[in-house]
Amino acid sequence: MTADTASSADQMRRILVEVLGVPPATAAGLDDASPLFGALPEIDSMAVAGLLTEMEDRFGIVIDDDEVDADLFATFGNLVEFVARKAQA
Amino acid sequence: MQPFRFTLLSAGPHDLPTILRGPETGPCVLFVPPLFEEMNRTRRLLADLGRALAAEGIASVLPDLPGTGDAPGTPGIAVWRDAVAHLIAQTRRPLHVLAVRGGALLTDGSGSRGLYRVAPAASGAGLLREMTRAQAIADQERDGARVAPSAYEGRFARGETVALTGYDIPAPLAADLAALILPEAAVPLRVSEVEGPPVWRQAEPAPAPAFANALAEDIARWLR
Repeated sequence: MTADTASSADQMRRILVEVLGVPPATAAGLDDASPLFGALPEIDSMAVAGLLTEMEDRFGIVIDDDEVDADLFATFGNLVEFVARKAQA
Repeated sequence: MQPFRFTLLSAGPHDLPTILRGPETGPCVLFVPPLFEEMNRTRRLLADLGRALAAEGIASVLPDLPGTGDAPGTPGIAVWRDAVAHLIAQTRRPLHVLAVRGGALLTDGSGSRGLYRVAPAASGAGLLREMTRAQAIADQERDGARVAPSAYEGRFARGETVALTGYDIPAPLAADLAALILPEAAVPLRVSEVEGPPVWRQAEPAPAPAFANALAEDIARWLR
């Protein structure tokens, strides 16, 4: 994991706690392989859509409709990798 | 805990089921709730806020807008705006309006003494975009195949009614929603800076009594 993805991971954990109400202990225990959508009760399809908006605001990124994909939220690692990649673009 | 009262308030063509809290005289706050599923996720916060305002000696009115909750009528932007305007106009006591998220798109506060916005949505298009994205993700999860959110726009363009996040959205409603922008306030405006969890984004909104209490304190200070 690079420094960029490490800080993205920490920011993502904070967003999951602050925005979606994921318990802090749960968020702290998330690693790359941790399943999100379908695994955490705090994450349903609407929460995912809201999370995309919050990510756009907080990371200053623009997420296009054609990037919206449930696989992004399959694992915590997928989500962090996506944010790190968007932030560099 | 103070009890709430339940009544039907006349708002133009519809009688709206409404929850009243707090004293029967003196200042009153009309809650204009968020739209669609965000309203359900915010219900507990608004109930807590109504109780907290009552503890400050401030009454509140929480209606179901036409075609939402238990209210009769067909959901629609114009219908909702009219209902809010009617509710403001018929209130015979000092009234302020509290509008949350998409509810802020429905009123400029005209006829009231002031408008308090909580996390106002910037536009109806933004809300519609979140709903199509949520539906695309839900459909992908169910069917296994990726769905482009724009697919629903195509269906709206063909005049179809599309179920988004559990709500049947007829094409005209989608068009009206997409055209909606946050109106300029016609009365003194305060945009809440109170920090709290965005329960309207949460699949399982946790009770947020501290948020409700802080909002009530901020509103009470503003009203005095």
